[in-house]
Amino acid sequence: MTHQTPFSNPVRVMVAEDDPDMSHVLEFLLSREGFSVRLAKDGRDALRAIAVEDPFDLVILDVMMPFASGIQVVRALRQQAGWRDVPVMMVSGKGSESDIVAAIEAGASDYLTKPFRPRELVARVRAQITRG
Amino acid sequence: MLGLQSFTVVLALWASVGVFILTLLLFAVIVGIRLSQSRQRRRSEELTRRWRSLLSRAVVEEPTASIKVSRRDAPEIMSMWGYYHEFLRGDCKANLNRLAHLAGLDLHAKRGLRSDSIRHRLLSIHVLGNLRDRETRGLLRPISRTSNPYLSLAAAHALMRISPRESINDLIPMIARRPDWPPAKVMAILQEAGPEVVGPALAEAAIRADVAYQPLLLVFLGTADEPSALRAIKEVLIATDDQQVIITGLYQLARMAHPDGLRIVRIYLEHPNWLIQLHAVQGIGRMGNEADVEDLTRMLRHRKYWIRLRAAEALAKLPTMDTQRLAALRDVQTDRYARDILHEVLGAEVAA
Repeated sequence: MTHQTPFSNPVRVMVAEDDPDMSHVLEFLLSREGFSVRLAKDGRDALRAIAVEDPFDLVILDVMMPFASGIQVVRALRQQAGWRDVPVMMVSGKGSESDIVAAIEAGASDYLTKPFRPRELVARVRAQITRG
Repeated sequence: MLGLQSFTVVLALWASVGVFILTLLLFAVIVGIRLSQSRQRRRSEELTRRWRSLLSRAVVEEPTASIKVSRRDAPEIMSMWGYYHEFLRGDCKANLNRLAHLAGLDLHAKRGLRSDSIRHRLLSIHVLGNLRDRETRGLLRPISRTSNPYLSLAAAHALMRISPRESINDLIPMIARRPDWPPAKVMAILQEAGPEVVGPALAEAAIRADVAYQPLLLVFLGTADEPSALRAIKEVLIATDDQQVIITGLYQLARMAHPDGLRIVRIYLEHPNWLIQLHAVQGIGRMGNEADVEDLTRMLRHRKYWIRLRAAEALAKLPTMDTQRLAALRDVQTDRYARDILHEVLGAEVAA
């Protein structure tokens, strides 16, 4: 079931997450909101997408991923022309002050810790896209 | 001679036929195992795909359809369902539990408590803990008292999830008697229950505990609410002369950084045991203020190097202290040791 979306064009969201269960939940939640979701299975896949694909409207990154961490991905993304202003939301089980500060300093726009509330995630995604 | 040769040839022939047949049989067995594994893998992938979809849907919609899970598939599904519980929170957990009831996971979990496999029993305990059905407490309580540290701790955790206020009074006497329970895991259970639930019971236990268990309980007081923790630490410190208990109490007070705690820590600057004095100085370094300058300056002349060093560091950390004032303080010291240690800490401060 797809919900009504207030956005005129299909919103494109990239989700980089190595955990298939988590990745599936994110894809399900975002597709249900009418967003077009592109999954990246690890950090390397996300970096490849940043290098060759058109900028997405939002990027959701897991912090701990194989090959390249979410922090590395967001740093690379901020140096890529066209991607600099793309909102990036980090999702992680690590919720200490230093983890959050490191992500924000690397260029993340928002940080959500696991366990998370699905409705809160969707609300934050919408807020980021509206601001972006 | 010819007969013997003929017999050897026949024997060799039959032996080779036998080896050939055995090879064929072995090959058939390998192919059979591979096919069976491949079938199992496909089945497992299909099951995972189906349940991932069901679980994701249940995150946002209340499940209604009844999907029965076979005994064979139950451990895999229970594990997956438990993982969704780990990374999600909020209202969606009620939907996950509804799905579990519709699929009969509660019954599988109750049955799983009697399994020979420890893994299956652990999984079942986790499922019952997440389902939070009060009537399962009777099944979990005996397991929480068993000698196996994994099963007992998992059952204690499940009981705390089901009814924290009722289970806390059973849990706390147990944690003091279970050195085989990892403290970090116990800490996580107490944190999950919340400071208001944990505080009063843990405070009472710390006050009444044998001196051998008091340091551990004082560490766990870090999960308690501030008034309960402060009261307990204060009463424990008044009643004890045990070095380890006092040091743990001072450490906890410093961590809490409460004005009442600071007043208690200051008293221990005068303690005859230099290790206790050291921890008092460190505590003041974490939460002290301008009123501590005089005491800390006096400690700069202590006979123990470590106390002089920590006192100088504590002075440097005071909110009203800066390098200029620290240098001025150094210059007015008449004691050579006090001057040297302030000089050392000042150098480190300037370099930082």
